Amino acid sequence: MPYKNYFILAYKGFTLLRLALLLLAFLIISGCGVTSRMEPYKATDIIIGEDDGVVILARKHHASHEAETSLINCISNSIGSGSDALQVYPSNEFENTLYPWFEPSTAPLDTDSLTNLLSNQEIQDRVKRTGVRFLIWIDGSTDRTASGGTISCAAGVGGAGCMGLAWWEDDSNYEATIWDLEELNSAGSIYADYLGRSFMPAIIIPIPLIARPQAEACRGISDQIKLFLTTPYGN
Amino acid sequence: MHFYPSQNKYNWIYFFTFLCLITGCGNNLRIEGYFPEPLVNKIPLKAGLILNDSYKNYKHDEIIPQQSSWSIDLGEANTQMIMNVLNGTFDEVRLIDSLPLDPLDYDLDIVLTPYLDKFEFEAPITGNNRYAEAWIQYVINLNDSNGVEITKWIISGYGKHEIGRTNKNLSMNNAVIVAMREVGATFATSINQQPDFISWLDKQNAL
Repeated sequence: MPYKNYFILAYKGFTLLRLALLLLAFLIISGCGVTSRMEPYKATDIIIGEDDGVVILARKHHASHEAETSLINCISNSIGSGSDALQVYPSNEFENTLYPWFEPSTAPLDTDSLTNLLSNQEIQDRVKRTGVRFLIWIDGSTDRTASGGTISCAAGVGGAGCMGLAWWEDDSNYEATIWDLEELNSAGSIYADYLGRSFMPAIIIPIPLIARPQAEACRGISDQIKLFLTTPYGN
Repeated sequence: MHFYPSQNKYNWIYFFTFLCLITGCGNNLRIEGYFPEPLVNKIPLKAGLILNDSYKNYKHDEIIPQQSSWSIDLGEANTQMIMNVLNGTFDEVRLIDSLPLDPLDYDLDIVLTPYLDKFEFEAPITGNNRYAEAWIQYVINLNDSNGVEITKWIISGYGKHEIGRTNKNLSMNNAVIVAMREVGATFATSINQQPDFISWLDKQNAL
């Protein structure tokens, strides 16, 4: 083969690689990412005291979905750390201490049921001993809302490789409802919707460009809860 | 390389051995969890508790066609759950062997005999299944100290736990624990609303 042909082949290969890199860069910049919407609503101007604690619980009313344990742990850890950390009571310990009143079938659904529950002196004393002032219910889940594309892989004697593009969208939709256990009312709520679009282009090897809306939702909700509990109007 | 299971009868054996190696054919699970004593106003009664072998050693074996086999041991969790729930619900709880009562136990007011009646589960498999689920039903016989039946109380509980990053056995364990805690919660919070129990209690108080 003349040298000229080798140069043409090398040039074509280089162009293909450049195109692939361009496509990759385009996807990173434009497509893959998380869009968010946060709607905090604070009904009172109460702020958390120095000795007041917070507990984060998942709403588990046998709906088809419930907030993931990983998200509850993430929010608890996030609120309980940093320079502006709040005192966070572990969720499991709270449920065990107050068993059987925070199980899926017995947990209070509204502040009237909470008032009824805390009218029992023994239960009220037990809550006081935990030091928890604010109970935060997390409702919602992360679901795959759309997906598409294809990736084809082939293997031969000379090697293996994949070609194509796959994409998917995950929607993290959560609502945090904050109850004040001292005033026996709902202090407000935070609605958060994070939509993450992930891509996996495959040019010889698949390159996953994964958006993590649940992690973003955790960060967003945690920051908002801190703001909510430490400033009079929570925004 | 291509694989056609039908070409050779041994291929099926190789195929299922391979499948077992990558998926894990058998799941042996001993349910372990924490059952706190319920925070309720104790009923001022002395209760006897009969734990039959079938209850203490309850094991659920099930083969799910084309998937895997499960052997779930609920015996220890059963015992822990009922002991803690009753200890939190009644003034005094004592383990007894059977009815009629031994003369040493004549001071007991009520005798409870729990049975695990039904147990069903949904095993997590890879794919879109996000939760391990368990459904459990107990029958609790309540008798007075003479052995006369007060009521037969059927209590069921449902539990689920996401599969997430945990292994499927742990998810199943947690789902069963949620279901059992539900049963305990129902017992502790609703025994005072059981019509037969209330009328028996009224008769006792009237005596």
